[in-house]
Formats: sequence, structure tokens, C-alpha cells
Amino acid sequence: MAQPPLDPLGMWRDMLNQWEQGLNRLSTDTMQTTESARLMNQAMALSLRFQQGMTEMMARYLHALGLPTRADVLSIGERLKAMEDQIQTLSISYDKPPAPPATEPRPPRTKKPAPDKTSDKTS
Amino acid sequence: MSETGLGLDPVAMTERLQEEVQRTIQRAAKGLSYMASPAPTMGRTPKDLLAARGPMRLYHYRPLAPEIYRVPVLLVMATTNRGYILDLAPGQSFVEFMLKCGFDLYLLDWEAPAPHERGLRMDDYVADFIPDAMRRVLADSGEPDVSLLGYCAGGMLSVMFAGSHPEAPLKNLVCFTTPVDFRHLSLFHRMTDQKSFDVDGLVDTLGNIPPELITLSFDMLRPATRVAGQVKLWDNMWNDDFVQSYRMFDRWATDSLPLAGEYFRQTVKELFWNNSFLKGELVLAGRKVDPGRITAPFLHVSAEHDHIVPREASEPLLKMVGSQEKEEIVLKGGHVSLVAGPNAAKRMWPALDAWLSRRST
Repeated sequence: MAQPPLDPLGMWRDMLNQWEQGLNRLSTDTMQTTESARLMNQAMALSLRFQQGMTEMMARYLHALGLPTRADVLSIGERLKAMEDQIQTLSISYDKPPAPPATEPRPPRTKKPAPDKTSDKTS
Repeated sequence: MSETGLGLDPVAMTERLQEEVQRTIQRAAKGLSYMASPAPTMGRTPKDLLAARGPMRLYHYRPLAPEIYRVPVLLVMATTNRGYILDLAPGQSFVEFMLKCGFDLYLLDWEAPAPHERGLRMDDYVADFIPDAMRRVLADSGEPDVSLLGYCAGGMLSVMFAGSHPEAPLKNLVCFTTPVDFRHLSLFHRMTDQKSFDVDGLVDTLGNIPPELITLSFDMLRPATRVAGQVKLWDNMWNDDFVQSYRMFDRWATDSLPLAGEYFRQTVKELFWNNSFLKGELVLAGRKVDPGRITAPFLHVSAEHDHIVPREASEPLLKMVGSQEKEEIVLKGGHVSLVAGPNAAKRMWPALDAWLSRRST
């Protein structure tokens, strides 16, 4: 039987695929242990506590300086967005009196499946 | 043809070397234009926005066939990802395929919930957004019934809707890779382990769950794939088709949506901790979710190599649904390649057309 020609780049691509599959498998196996889930969730809880602590500290600091917090800015942003949406809605109804959105006539709803599609065999 | 003592063919080796030199030159030239070019535009099939409310967006695609089937089809997208995966590019678009087959398509897509919408729950999606979209589709099309077609979590919400609204004018129900047994989403199940995962702390601190966390959790299912993907991209930089396809899928995969905080809390507690959808114990907006009450013809399409929703997680769905006329198709491919890309165009799209067309008159 004829040997396939030696292809160093092909070998490298095979190795890359094997590395990807192997690492994915190893990682999935590791992540699925109770211990790794516990460690990951502990790290997340720690990070959240840190984030919460920082947010509260910054809020006190900004309040003392008479500056808005991130929550204040987000709240103003939300109110602005709500106002913009209202203006857009009013603008649409003012610019366009009630009319169907599609100006072109729609095709008739009379299509029937081709005879070869009427059997129960799907694929 | 002479060969060396090592079994090497000098002519073939020379040709291979020349080809590789050419590709290296092309990689350098195209690599530069890749860096400078903008991300590909997707979701270009013409459509009209029918409704926008909270995170809900309802679109109607303009028909591409001179004659269409009577029954309109409402696509329900997953809440974590953008709907343009179903409309990648002309010639590679599921939406375009369906329109050309003669279906009248509507899309229920989602935008990021705003910070003040952190209180949205599954109840809102199942008992408000989906029925509202259905009513609008019926009004827009002038038809008395509609087919629902949901992808992944969109399929799950569609089954929850159909199972809690048996009176809804549902002509057909189609689901792609729809999870129902959450024990088998093993990595997600482990990551949200009730003993160590503080979902209340997470939601109370963050409000909505940021998209980076969603993308990271999907990446953790295959952590080496992103790095290997970059290497493969460079290796195939000379191949325009590969680069275009890579960019489209990569953009979609990293373009996750945040999840409303309460929706996430409910998903973890009801589905991952209690598995209440599978147990038949799920109640949304005061209505029991019982897929056994679904009577519309039902099709579930799943993928053999789905790493996000493995077969075991979606397999019980067919038994749970009460329809007399029900079917499951298992196709080769993965979670995304089932619906998008060349394999989907060859396998799933024609299979769906064959099933749905004869039930859409």
C-alpha cells in the first residue's frame, strides 16, 4: 500500500487538534469535580464581596464630595433612555399616520408543499 | 518518480513547499487587511420592526417568494444570544432559506435588559412576551394560527409557553436543541452547585448578569478552543471563505446578552437545583407548565455532538410533549452547526422544510 507523502504541516495541524481536544477534555473533567466548583464559587463570592465593599466605600466617598455614584449616573441614563423612547414613539406616530408598515402587497398565502414533500420521510 | 531513502517524494515535497510559501505570503498580506477591516455585518435580510418593548423585539421578514404558505412562523431566539446566527450572510442564512422556501417569517429577538429590568422573570418571557408576539403575528398576518420555532433556550421558553397556554392558536411547535433535564448540562450544573454557588449574592450584587460572565461560562465548556481557533485562523488566513466564516461565528459567540437578574436566579433555582421543568412542577405566572397538554404537531431537532445541550439533556422532551403527531430528528453536528453553516444548509434546513411545509397550509 502506498505511503501518504510526509507533510510536516499536516502533522502540526493534527497535533494542534489533539492538543485542543485533550485540553478541553482535561479541563471539563477537572471542572466537573465538586472541589473545583467549590473553589471557583469561593473565588467568585470573594470577588463579589470585594466589589460590594468597594462600591459602598466609593459611594460614601463620592457622597462626601457631593459627586454622583455609578448607580446615580445609571439611573439618570435610564431616565434619559425612557424619555428618548417616548419622544421616538411620539415622533413615529406624528410623522407616520396609521398605515400598514409594508407598502408593497404581500404574496398570496396559497402555497402548497411540493408533492415530494408530502410524505412523512424527513431526512 | 524517484524517492529518497526516507520515503519522501522530492517532486511532491517541492510542490507542497511552493504552496506553503504562497500561503505564507497571502497570510501576511491578508492578515494586514484582516486587522484593518471592520467586523462582518450579519442579519442583513430585509425585515421590519413590528414591536419593541423592554428587551423584546419583534421583526417581520419581507417575503422572498411569490407565493407563501398560509401559516406564519414565529422564530423564538435564545435569551443569551443574538438572533443573527439564523441570518449570517446571503447564501448562508437560515432565514433566507426559509423565506425562499415560501415561509412567512417573524423573529422574536431579544435586546439586553436595562438595569431597571433586572426583575424580569421567566414568567414575563413565557406569559407576556411570547403571547404578545403571537398576538401581533396573528394581527399582522391575518391568520388564525401560527407555528412556533425555538432555538435552545428559545425552544425551552416556547415549550413552556405551549405547555402553560393549551388554548393558544398554535399550529406547529418546532424546537432545536432544547434542554429539559438540567442535570445533564453537567458543567453548568456543577458550576451552579447548590452547596457552593451563591446565586442570591450574585444577583443581589450585580443586578443583571453581565454578558462577559455568560461568554466565559460557555468558553469554559471548551477552554482550549478559543486559543486553538486563533492559531487555525492564522493558518487559514489565505482562505477567504474560512476567514469570513470564522469572523461571523466568533463575533456571534462573543456577542452574548446579559441576563435579567431574576430570570437567572429563577433558572438556577427552578431548573438547575430543582429540575422542576422535567419533574412537571414548574409554575409560571400562576399557570402550571405541562408539556403533556401540547397537542400541536411537534418536532425536536437535536445534534449528535452538542457540547452545550448534550443529547441526554434534551432527549426526554419528546416523551414529555403530549402531541399525537411528534417526531425527533438527530443530525450530525454541534449546537451551532446544527442551525448555521454549510452542514446546517445540507442537513437541517431541508429536513425542517420537508416537515414544516406539509403542516403549513
